[in-house]
Amino acid sequence: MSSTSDPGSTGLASPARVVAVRSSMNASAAAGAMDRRGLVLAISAWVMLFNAGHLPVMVLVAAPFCVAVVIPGPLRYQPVLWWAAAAAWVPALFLGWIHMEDHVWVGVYWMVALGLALADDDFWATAAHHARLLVGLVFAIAVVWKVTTPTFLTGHTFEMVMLTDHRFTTVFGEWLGGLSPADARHNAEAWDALRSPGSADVAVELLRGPRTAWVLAAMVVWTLAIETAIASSFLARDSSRLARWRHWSLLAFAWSVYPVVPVVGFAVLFMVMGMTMTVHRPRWFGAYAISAVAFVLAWGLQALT
Amino acid sequence: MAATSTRSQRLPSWTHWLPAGLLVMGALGQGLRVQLVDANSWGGGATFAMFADIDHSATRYVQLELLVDQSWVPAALPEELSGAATRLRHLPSQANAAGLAADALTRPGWAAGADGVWHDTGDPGSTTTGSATAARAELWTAGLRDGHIVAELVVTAEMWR
Repeated sequence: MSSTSDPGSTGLASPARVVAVRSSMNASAAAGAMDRRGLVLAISAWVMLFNAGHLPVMVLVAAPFCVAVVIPGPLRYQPVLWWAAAAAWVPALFLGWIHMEDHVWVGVYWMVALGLALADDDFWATAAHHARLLVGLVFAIAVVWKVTTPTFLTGHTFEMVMLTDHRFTTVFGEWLGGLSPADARHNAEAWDALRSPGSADVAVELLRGPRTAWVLAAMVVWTLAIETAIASSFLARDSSRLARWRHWSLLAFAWSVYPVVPVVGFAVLFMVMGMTMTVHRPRWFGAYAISAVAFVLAWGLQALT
Repeated sequence: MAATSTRSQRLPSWTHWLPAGLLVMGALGQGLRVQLVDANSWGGGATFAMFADIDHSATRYVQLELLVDQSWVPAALPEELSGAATRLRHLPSQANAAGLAADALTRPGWAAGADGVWHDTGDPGSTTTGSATAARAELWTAGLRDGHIVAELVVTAEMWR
């Protein structure tokens, strides 16, 4: 290895020197992996603190847990801490189920997985195994729902989302679909009128832009394609050709969705799972980390505006 | 950390499938509730069905009516009943709709607004509740048909004095 050569040496490294340098490199790599482990744990704990926004009483659990994990020390590496925190979320998941979106559940499964990884000899291999399965299954189940739901396949679901979710209205309805602001306002008012007290049970025309149909078709095709790619690549064996597309597909999905709809609880969770799987591949690890920060910033910007 | 580097420990093989198994069981459980009792498919329990069906809690809405002087009149949903309405949107049932109607009937005071919609005043002095003999709660969901938004009734219940 070139890094074992020393400009000040004769060019022939002694075996003892090579061993020393390699040992130093291994120690450095191990220290780096340690730092990354702390980072992965801290981000995961922060996600659960963020998720407590769905049921604020859970801050009482998530905040002390987050403090225990973020502060460097042996406590955050204790599996029982992660399992206890996961267990503390269980009553909230069932008793407050109305408030719990999907990513809160996945966050709890991820806490169980991290506890298992911390209890195992090989933290990274175990954590990456669970991350791979969780991501793959989430998207596999999502694809099954979509291909068995007629209103998704016809684009009606996305058309309704453009109507009821202002984030989609602006980007997909107006910017891409060409819907004029006046027509978008007409649609919003029709939707409000339908829901107002005493509204008549009548059909209200929904106006479309010149490219709305194309945008809807593209959204349906893209969503099915990218989610299928994620599910199949993550659930495929590591030796499979499909596995090469894991990080491309997950990041492509994330960047196509979360800048517009920054669901931080899901976005950062997926990114930290990706980081877990790429701890020895700095470029991917960095891409996931930067993406996580970007999605939090996107959320912050939307919250401010 | 030393705690992990000095330990030689492999976990039982079943733990390799524990988080994934929990995820599948959770998805199946809530998926069954969606299929069997029309529970909200977009949230409330890890179905991962977001953006699949047009019918979900955000496209469902509650309408409230009071029977006053032999006529059904529209009523605005009181803020205090928003929790019950949310529950009805997430889990439609006769019982949840009847509970919402009963709660509406027991509100201390209703008064007709200029728009013809009755509002909860919270003031027994201004009440006309005495003349409201029944309340009806309806859950509707929106669909799209031939380029039009259409409303479809999901469940309804009436409560009488």
